[in-house]
Amino acid sequence: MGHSLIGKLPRTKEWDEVSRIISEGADPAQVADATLKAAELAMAWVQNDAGFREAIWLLTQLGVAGTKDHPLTHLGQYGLVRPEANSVVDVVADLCNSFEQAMAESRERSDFGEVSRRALAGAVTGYLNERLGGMFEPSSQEIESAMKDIRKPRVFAQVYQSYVGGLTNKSLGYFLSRELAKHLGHRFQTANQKRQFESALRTLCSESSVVVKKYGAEWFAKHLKEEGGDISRESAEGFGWYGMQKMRAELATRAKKNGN
Amino acid sequence: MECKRCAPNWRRGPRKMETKLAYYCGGLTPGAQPDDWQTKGLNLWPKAGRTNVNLEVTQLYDKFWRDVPAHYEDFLEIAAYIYSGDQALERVGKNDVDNMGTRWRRTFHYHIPVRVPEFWDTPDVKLALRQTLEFLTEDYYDFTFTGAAHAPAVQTFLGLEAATGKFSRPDRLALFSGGLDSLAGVVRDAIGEKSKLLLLNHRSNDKFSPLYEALFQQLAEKVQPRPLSQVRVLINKHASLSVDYCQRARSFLFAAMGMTVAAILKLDELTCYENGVVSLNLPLCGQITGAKATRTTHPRVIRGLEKLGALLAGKKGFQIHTPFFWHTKGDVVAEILKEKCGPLIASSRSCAGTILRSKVKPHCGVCSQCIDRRIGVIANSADEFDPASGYEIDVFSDTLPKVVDKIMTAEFINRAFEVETYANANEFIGEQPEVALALPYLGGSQARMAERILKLYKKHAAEVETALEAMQLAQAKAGRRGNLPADCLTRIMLDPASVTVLPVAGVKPEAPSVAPAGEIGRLRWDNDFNDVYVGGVHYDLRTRDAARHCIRYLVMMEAFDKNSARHLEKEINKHVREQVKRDVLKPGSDGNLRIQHYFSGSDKIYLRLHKELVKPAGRNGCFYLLVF
Repeated sequence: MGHSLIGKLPRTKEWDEVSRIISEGADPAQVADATLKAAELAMAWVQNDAGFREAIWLLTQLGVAGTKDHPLTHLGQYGLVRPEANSVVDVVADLCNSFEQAMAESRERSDFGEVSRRALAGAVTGYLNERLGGMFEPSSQEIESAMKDIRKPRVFAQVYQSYVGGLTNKSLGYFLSRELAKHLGHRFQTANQKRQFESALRTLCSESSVVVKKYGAEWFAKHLKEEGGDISRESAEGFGWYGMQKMRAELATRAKKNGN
Repeated sequence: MECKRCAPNWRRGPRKMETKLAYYCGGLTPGAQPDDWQTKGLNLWPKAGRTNVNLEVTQLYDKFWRDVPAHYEDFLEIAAYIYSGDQALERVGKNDVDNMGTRWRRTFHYHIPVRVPEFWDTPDVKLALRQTLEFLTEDYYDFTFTGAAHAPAVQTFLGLEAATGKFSRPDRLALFSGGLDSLAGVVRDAIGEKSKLLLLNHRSNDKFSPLYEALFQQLAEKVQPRPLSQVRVLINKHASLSVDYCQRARSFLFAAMGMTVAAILKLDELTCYENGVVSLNLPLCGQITGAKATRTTHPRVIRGLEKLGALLAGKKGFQIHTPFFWHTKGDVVAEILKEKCGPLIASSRSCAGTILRSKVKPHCGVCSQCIDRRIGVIANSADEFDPASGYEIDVFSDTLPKVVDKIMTAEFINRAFEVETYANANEFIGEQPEVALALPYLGGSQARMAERILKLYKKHAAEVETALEAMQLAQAKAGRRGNLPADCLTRIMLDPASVTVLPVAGVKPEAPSVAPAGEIGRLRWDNDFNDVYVGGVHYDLRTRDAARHCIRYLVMMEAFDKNSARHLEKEINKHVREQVKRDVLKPGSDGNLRIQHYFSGSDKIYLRLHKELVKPAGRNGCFYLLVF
């Protein structure tokens, strides 16, 4: 009871390179780039991952719900968030459980799907917490008002940027959590140094995700109009995938700059 | 002809490669299957062919079994098949990074003969069975139940004992694994509250039975004159069915046995002692997803089992109590100490590994259960009852030779400290969204429950802090003398250089780093590898720069076995050449480099060092250090 299965990276040339540059003190941008290169095979299927598709679709549905008079009622019709949700925890927990239900039905779970759910929860919480966090519990009206604002392309882009940044960081964490601790006592003399490295990776992903912000705002406004106020799963999937591609290119550019 | 490595399907096969297996149970003849399905047979019934699963129940008397409804007998068999089937197919995704764990999840179709098919074919029953199992194990399940008119009575093969003497009906039935949590539960209920308990224990092998029996006897003596009884379930399988050791379905069998015994005793409840931190088992780090963190007593599983229990029991309903859900491990230990039962801790066993452990050191010391146990015990200043000598590795002062041990230790502590920084439940659920999966099953407002769980985890973090403080104090002298390895928990948590700032961008790679002094296995080094000791013999490498950098590099890369060996030409020599600023190795007459040239010279002692320490990993040009 209470067991956790821990794995390490496979012994391939690409992953060995990741290990080598970490031990040699490479900066987070270089490590991120090398990791994504080594993970190319794993990430090649991301576009078809059911969890990834579900998470990005849920995100776009929050934007679509924002255009309705009662966003929670709209989301409730699809079983995504209960209409009676009256806290940030309620909204995020409902989204996570609706994701879980979709995965159970599709029977297409994957680790990347789980990572996508984490990124979705992080992005939605980040936005709602910023809008509603405070000393007092938000009222249902305040939650509805915050949800309605996601219809604005600028606000939607902010949530989308946070999602893409979080997804990149969590994907890196998925791979690097098999490696970083190995360097404790060597590259990282202390657990604190390791934590700081992870924190720098997070900052890197967050800063790099700026590249998707403008694209996110324009895409959302365009598709909402073109698709008659709704966004199809197919469009959402392409949107999510393109954002990840942009992030990948940005990280490669940053790594190149730092390496020179 | 196309080269195999370059063929389009070599690494670019479809991602969906879960393993699919149809189990035909109780002697059923396998039917036709699609190409990508395998089939296997599982059998408990002696008269239905060769049995490969055996279920044995001890200390449950035959006379009680007479009233067991047939669908409970079915349930027990179904659970035994699921438990065996879970281990009979490897989760090939355990380390499949390139597939992102897709093959961790398997698809099973069980064909099971049952006595009451009309009950098992009910949509509600099938759904409850499927949903509970799928969340518990993260596999996919389908069931086909067929009527078995001539099914043998379960008691004919359970090995039930003939009743002797009088049997005292218990107040409560509790699952008892023999770990710290269940020990605390029995101490609290049977000794503190003077309840009459019947303990149900499940074991998959007999290795630690004497330790368990000793614990049970000590408990039985403590509760006297009231009786303490137990029922023990042993399940064993044919060796060919022991392929996977993750055992995510184990608790399902345990619970099924509990529900059946409860039905025998006309009880409509079951108690399961498990602390909340372990029950929720939030992921320790990014690589742990889904059921890679066990969900044995997760609230969603418990509610699923209750639903099944209620369906089995009819209108009566069924409850599974988890009285320690709002406890941490430290609270659990405190329950034991409160009843002055500290000495019993030594006889309890928490370790995840069984087969590899010795009876003298029953705990590995580095699995999450062992780390949690030590922290709970030390935070309560109860380490006299659970000394470090019972652990194979003392995580606070020993080096951690395996990468997975380092990850586990570092991430266990890391998560505790991370949770401490969350200001409120919103932040908590944003960073640890797995908590959301439990919220609908706890009753009450989700926000309040999330807040309460955060409080529980913060309490756990405080225990980690207390234990670390105590152990750092205890190890201070060893630290001052330089006797603590660089990667032991005490060192990595306390270092004068711990406050550093790593800029996000614009930094050139630093030089390779490795601790200037340290010890791994039989190798010890000091003064940045100028002094090296192998098996106690000292080698001064001040004049042997190449040899020094070669060994230093291999230590830095943790090349301690064939799998982690490094290539001489591409890696080792490249590094050595950069460090000593010249080419030390010259190709021999056959054009190959020889690693012993780093060590050769007039003084033969260095060649001895080479022979003792540096080993080739076959004929692939790779070398490693033989330190273990």
